[in-house]
Amino acid sequence: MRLRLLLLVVVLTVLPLAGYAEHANINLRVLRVDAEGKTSDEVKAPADEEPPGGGINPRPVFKAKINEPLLMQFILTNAYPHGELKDVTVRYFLVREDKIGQKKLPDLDKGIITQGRFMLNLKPKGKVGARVAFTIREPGAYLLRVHTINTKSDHEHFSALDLLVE
Amino acid sequence: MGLLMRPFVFVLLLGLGVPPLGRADDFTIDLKAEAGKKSGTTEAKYPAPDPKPSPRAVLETAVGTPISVKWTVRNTDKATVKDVLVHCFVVKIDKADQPEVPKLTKNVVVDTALTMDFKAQDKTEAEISFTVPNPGRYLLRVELKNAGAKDKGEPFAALELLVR
Repeated sequence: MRLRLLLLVVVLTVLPLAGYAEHANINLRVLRVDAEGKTSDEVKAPADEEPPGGGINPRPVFKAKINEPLLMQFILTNAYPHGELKDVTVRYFLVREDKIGQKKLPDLDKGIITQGRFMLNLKPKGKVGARVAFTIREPGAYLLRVHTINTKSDHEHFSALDLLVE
Repeated sequence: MGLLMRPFVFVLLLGLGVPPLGRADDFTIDLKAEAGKKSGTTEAKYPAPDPKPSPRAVLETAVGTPISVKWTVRNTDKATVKDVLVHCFVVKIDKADQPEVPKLTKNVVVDTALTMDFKAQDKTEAEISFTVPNPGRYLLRVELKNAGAKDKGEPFAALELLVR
């Protein structure tokens, strides 16, 4: 009886963890760029997951000025060790939002500063990355986010931060 | 040292295997760009439809106009090709049809890369949109690393953006 109880505890503990195995590490950051192309004042975004919508970690805020040369960079590394993930999409965007820290995703049909998506088969340790220079012409709050789609898991990974442009 | 002083693609190349020599690989690259909603699409392909060298196609646009780029890379060979790096970038160049590819250490607008194993007919594709903040002539190029067959160079497709 004790052994059965112990097995039950082990199964109940391990099964949810197995379904929740990490499958992506995302390193997202934003920086200022000077005239020589050198960068400074880096802010990094934490890794997060959905569900729940919008994740659980508060997003860091990067303060910038209008028309200031900026740079976003992300590198996503597939950490899922059990074979190739087929037809995965990795999407990034920088879009205007109503307020800093809002959980709801903004409408992506307007207010886009830059965006992109990559469709590929992600092998173990496979990588996807982008480095994009940009400026923002209007003051306001902006969301910079990278996320995975179609990893056939019970969750998707994302990393995000906010930009407050004055 | 600033981040831009280190070419981004090197980061993704880390950890890739050494490609076997003499692979008979065949890839196609389709590259398209358009600016705004009024202008048409400018395209480049690999292999080029016309084997004669020809000037790169040019997309003319204005500073701050959103530019959309789509590319598709496909392995048309029957063999699997491992550890291919697909690299796409937009960098300022000095003159039209400049043969040298600049170092990606400054005046880089976009620099993206991904790594993938290509089984027969596997493909990867991307769509990116961005604006160019300063006027000038820019090279838009998609190139493959670790995919070259013996006696061939690495596949690439390229066009130019003329931003006024």
